[in-house]
Amino acid sequence: MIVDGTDGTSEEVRTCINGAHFFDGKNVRTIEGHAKRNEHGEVVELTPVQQKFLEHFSFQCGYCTPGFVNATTVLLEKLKREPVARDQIEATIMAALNDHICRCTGYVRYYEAVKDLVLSMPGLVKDAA
Amino acid sequence: MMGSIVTRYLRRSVVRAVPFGLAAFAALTLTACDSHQNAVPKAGSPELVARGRYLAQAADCAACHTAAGGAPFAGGVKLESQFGTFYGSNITPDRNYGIGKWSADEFYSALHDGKAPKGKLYPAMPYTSYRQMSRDDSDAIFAYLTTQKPAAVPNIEADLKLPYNVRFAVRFWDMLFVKDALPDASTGQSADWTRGRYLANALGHCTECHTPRGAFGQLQDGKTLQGGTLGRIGAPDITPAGLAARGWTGADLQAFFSTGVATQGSAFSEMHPVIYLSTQHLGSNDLRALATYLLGDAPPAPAPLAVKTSNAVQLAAGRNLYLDSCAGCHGREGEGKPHVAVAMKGNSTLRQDDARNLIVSMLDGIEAQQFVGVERMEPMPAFAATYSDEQIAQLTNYLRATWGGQPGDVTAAAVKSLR
Repeated sequence: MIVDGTDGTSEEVRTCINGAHFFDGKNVRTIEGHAKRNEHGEVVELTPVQQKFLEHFSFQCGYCTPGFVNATTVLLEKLKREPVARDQIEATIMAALNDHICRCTGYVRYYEAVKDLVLSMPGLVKDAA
Repeated sequence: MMGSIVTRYLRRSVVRAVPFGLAAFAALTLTACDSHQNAVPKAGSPELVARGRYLAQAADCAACHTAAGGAPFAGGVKLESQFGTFYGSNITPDRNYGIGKWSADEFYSALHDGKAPKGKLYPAMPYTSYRQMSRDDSDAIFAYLTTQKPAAVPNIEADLKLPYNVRFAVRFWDMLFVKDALPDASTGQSADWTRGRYLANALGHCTECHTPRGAFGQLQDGKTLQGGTLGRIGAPDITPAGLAARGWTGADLQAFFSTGVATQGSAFSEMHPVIYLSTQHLGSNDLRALATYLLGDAPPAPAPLAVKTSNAVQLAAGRNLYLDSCAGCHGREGEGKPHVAVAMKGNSTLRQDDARNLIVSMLDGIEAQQFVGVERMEPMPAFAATYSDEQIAQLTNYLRATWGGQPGDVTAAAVKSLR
């Protein structure tokens, strides 16, 4: 899940090896909390990350979906604070998502979707470079 | 300070190549070599080469002479020390860069006296230990190495600080500190014990890491195998008393040497490649002999695990942290999880008098490790950025008091000093 720091940063934290008590007192976001919902709990608007993954057909069996959505969300939030040079985009995506495993081999579509996001969202890339 | 030149305060920053295929092949071909009385095979014969391969594994030549991703025995492994950086040399039969022009006499001289045709070797090459090796075994290893593929890989000169780069001074160090026999930490006279002494001293060179070093980098005679601090993770006390105090039996040691995993934990840090490259290849007789030498002919009884009482508030805080971040893999009651993480209950590192290795493991984490066959352990995350000195101390005290039989007296300052 995503843990939000008090300084405006966010990070991924694994739930498989951290007990619930570890998150006591921390601000957390889980996959269920990304999309906007109405008063009935129905999803009314996806986040740009979720939308792009759908457009690129990145999701397959769904097992790794929460991890990739969280990791990409954290990456975009980091790039908003610290934009990356254009020639570093690919390496940055690789470093951010490398620990995530997709056994349907959907890596290429995840990768293309994330690259699309980084290039299309304003302010994530240092144009001067 | 000539003596300081020659220490082996080595920290290995390179993970070694992993010869899976070789391991399987060796297991098939080399069991015949595992005998206490080896008849000397004919020069250059397949038997001699096979015996040389077994001995080269037992002496763990690859640890320093085969770099990760490099050609076998082509050198390049970086060995860091407080005196500078050494690099394992090329010992393939390449005539320019390797030992292709060497004779068997010269090879023996390198093992026995640290003298190479081109000049004096630094004792990063453990001739302090290898000088116990028999001429027959030296010749067999030489025969094996000459069958390797020559690799035209230049040697990297040691990068040593002044005045340690004065090679001739090593001779004075040799005169002072190189002995014909290494002291024993155990007692025995059985055939197993005698063979084990040869395996541990002449081949395995255990003492190079497990014996503390003096001011000149020399092995401290009175403290043989009582534990060394070459790297960030210290080599534990492996005297009979030291092993028994942490619950080790001969059967445990044999399991550890052959698989890397025992009820007391799995090999990590610099011991992992020792298992992977060397001891897993030992035959069952040699494994038994090695264990017999370490514990002696009359092994001390393994100490039962005692639970230490400690500050209740500290322990409760430590228990909470353990449940937060450790129990997922190491088990709620410290029972561990097969193929994921070792048990904490009775773990050898928790039972060490010195909490250093436990604290460093939590601060730095441990890489995922492949063991013999399909066995592996998952990576342990580093907690240096997650927890404060106080919290790491609480965890350390909880672990040691609950499952290590050690006092819970580690302070936050002690943790801070290891960051």
